[in-house]
Amino acid sequence: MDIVSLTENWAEPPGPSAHVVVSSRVRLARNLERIIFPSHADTKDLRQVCDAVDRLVRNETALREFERIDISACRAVERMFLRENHIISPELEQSSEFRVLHLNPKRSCAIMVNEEDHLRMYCLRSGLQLTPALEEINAVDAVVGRSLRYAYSEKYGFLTACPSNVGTGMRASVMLHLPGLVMTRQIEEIIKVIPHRGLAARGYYGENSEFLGDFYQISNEVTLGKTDTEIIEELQSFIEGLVSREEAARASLLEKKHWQVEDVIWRAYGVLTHARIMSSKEAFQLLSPIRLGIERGHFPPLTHHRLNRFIVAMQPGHLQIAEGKEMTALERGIARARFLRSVFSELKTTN
Amino acid sequence: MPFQKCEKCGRPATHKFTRMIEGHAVDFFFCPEHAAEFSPLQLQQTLVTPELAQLLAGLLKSEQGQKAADEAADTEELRCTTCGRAFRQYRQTLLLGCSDCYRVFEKPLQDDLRRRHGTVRHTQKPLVPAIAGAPPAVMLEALQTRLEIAIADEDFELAVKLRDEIRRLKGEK
Repeated sequence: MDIVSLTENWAEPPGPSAHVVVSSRVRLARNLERIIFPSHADTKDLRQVCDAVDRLVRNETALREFERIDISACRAVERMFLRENHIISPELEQSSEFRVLHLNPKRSCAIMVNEEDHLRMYCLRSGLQLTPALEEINAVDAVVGRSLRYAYSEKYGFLTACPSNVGTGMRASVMLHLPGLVMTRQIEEIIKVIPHRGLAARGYYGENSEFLGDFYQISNEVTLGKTDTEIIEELQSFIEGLVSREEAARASLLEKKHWQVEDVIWRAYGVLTHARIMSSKEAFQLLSPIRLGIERGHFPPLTHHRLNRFIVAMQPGHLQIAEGKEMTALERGIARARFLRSVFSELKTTN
Repeated sequence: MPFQKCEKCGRPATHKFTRMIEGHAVDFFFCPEHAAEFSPLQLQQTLVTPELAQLLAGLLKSEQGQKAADEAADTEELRCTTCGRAFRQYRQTLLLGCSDCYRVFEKPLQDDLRRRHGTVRHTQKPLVPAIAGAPPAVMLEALQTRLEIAIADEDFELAVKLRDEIRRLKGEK
């Protein structure tokens, strides 16, 4: 299995509102009836789940093209690479034996086996596409649920290891780039109001991660007492409101603080084309204004999608795989600066 | 305060603070250590030594308080017979061991579910999806069963919906 060939390609073509919304993701948590949940399961239980899913994927026409990746057999750097590509979750990256991924050819849809729950199935789409993502993963769920008996209760719905997921077992999340709301200082007020809408805001790397480069992940917190469609509609409506506010903030900045914003963009470009050492955090901070610059037409060949790829490619697992060796933080900083220098120096600009 | 994680370090939160920010009541969740940083009052509380806390607890403990404390201790020691997980372990990790834990820990879990989701009942359309399209007599029987469960669970919101659905079906018959 060539792990390096497994890069995300769900992001092409760019989805709706790509200038603000990077991606939409819907994942379903499911457990199998009468089998102990993975955190407490022994080898026999874990193997039983793996075998059941393997059989299912082999036999179901709709899943036959899914590729099987034994995560337990991957090297640490390969697991990191997959996580950085949003193909596996941090939990699966850290797990030990009997952890398997079944991934569709487009890399947009997958079944993670023995994560926090027996099955975590997700669909990832470019831009704001929550409903298509839900429909795609529901189709996979219907196929899986036809053959495997889920742990389900009439009262609580799908039973999950953490009761924060019980009910629909669905978590829908949207990754947004909100430099306008950050620069106009509206973001803090929005972040504080989000929990009151039954939603949560997280950083680029998900739970417990800090907000980096004006990237925000917004997802539903409530999974019980509402249908999956209701949850998606509420989230969609909130995100559409945010996109409008972000667009208004960008327009206002263009009108009132044109030169200040231009200065931030071109300074970022200057550092990216000349720095010799760069931390991941600094790179995030610099790539954010560049993303804004794309919208203003400053870097003609660069698209939002290509910039998203740079963000993934500058991360530790990718750098170490590209260099073919384990690297210290300093070595990674040097390699990251070199990588960004090379891609940005080649760009034609409107400067 | 299950489910909520400390906003500073991600450990399970034990303290909740509510502040009014621009007209909105905003909740903050912290572990004991970061709660102490957030609020001087909490700092004072954490400065109370265990010995002093024990003395104060002894002085203040009423019979009623003792009963509640005993019940809480019993809850912590509840254990699922299927997976062997204790409720105390769930409190620490926020993870249940198996699907039977939902039945064994049902009572203490209700508060957690209400706090997190605002309800304790799964909703889906239609109310009886497994037999959607079945003859009205079968639907009615299933709805009656669900109504009885809802009343036993004191889930009156669902009970009203089921009652209305039953009336609608009876009217159509």
